[in-house]
Amino acid sequence: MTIDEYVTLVSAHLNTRSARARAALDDLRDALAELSVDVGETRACAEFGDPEAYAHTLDEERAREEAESDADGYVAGIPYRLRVKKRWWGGFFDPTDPRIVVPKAMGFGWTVNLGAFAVKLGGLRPDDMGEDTVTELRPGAAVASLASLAGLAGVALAVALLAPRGIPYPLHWTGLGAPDRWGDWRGALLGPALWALGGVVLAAVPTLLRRPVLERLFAQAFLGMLTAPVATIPVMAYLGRHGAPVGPLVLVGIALGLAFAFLTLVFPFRAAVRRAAAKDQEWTR
Amino acid sequence: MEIGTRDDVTQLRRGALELAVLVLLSGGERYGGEIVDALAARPGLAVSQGTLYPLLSRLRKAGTVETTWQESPVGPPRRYYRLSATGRAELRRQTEAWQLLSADMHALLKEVGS
Repeated sequence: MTIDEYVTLVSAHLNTRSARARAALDDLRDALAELSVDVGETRACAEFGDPEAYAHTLDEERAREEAESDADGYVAGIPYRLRVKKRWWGGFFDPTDPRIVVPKAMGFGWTVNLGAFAVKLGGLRPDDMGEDTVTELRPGAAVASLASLAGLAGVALAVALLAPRGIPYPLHWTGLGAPDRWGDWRGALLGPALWALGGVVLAAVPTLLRRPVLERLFAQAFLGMLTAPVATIPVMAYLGRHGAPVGPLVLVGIALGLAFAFLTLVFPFRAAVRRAAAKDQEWTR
Repeated sequence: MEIGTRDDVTQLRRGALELAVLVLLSGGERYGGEIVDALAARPGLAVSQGTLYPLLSRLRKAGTVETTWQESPVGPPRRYYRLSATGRAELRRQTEAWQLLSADMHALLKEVGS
């Protein structure tokens, strides 16, 4: 077998055509050429073993490097990742990573790692997420979280529908806090309420598709984190109209979203750890 | 020239960390926090949780270590790690490789008078 034939066979068995794979093939060609000076091309190829096995090793190495790397690259210091990781929630909830702010699992910029919060607050240990605990997650946890998100959206819708029509309501404020744009009170509340309902529908999709409980929980936590603050807008607007300061209420809405995601993931995993431990103790008896 | 910088140690430790964990577990089962503390007691081997737990996860998936859950005096049960039969064989293999590497490197450094 010639070096060209060997490299072509390895290339044919690779699962990727990335620049990194091409560089690995170039390295392989160089190494074979160097070895062939002493032993000839056929012997050099034989010493590198089965081309399919070699390609498999290269694929494994690449997958490991990708899993370990945070980003595909950086633009002006901002990380980006174009290919989604096998577990898309990796950046958003990774208890093994102690960093609070991490590059997004896909996209541009950073995200908050709620898993690091969970560990710092004592809610989880870094190694609580594993195959043994994932199998102990119960669908009831996902149903409870979805129901609470739906309840929040329901409250937002009720506040919006019960609001009187024709009352002007500030839609935008100047930097000093004075309203500079006005709209209809009821219309202003219906928008966020319907947005929140849409979030609930999306969060329910993995449940309707009977996806594993882990995926349901992560989808609900992620969408809940985005939806809960929007769902609180009608309530905040109602309270704001009755004299409550809007600024702190916005922060309450954001905190509510983070808390929703945190509780949606931490409580089911804590329960799963207890069940896995109980099972372990039954086995050892 | 600066000798033994933090980056140098990090690079060398990367290759040695798995063996260090296997050696620690050969002395009996431990939970993750104990392993972090035991490594931290040796500055050359000290690693963060962010480095150790993915390694433990990989070792678990590879069947090199086994885990059990045990009640903890503080908080929920803890995952304990111990060497599997594969792990003990891996420990022997990596120990031999390390000793060979270490002896050769030591001899090489001595040879060139570093």
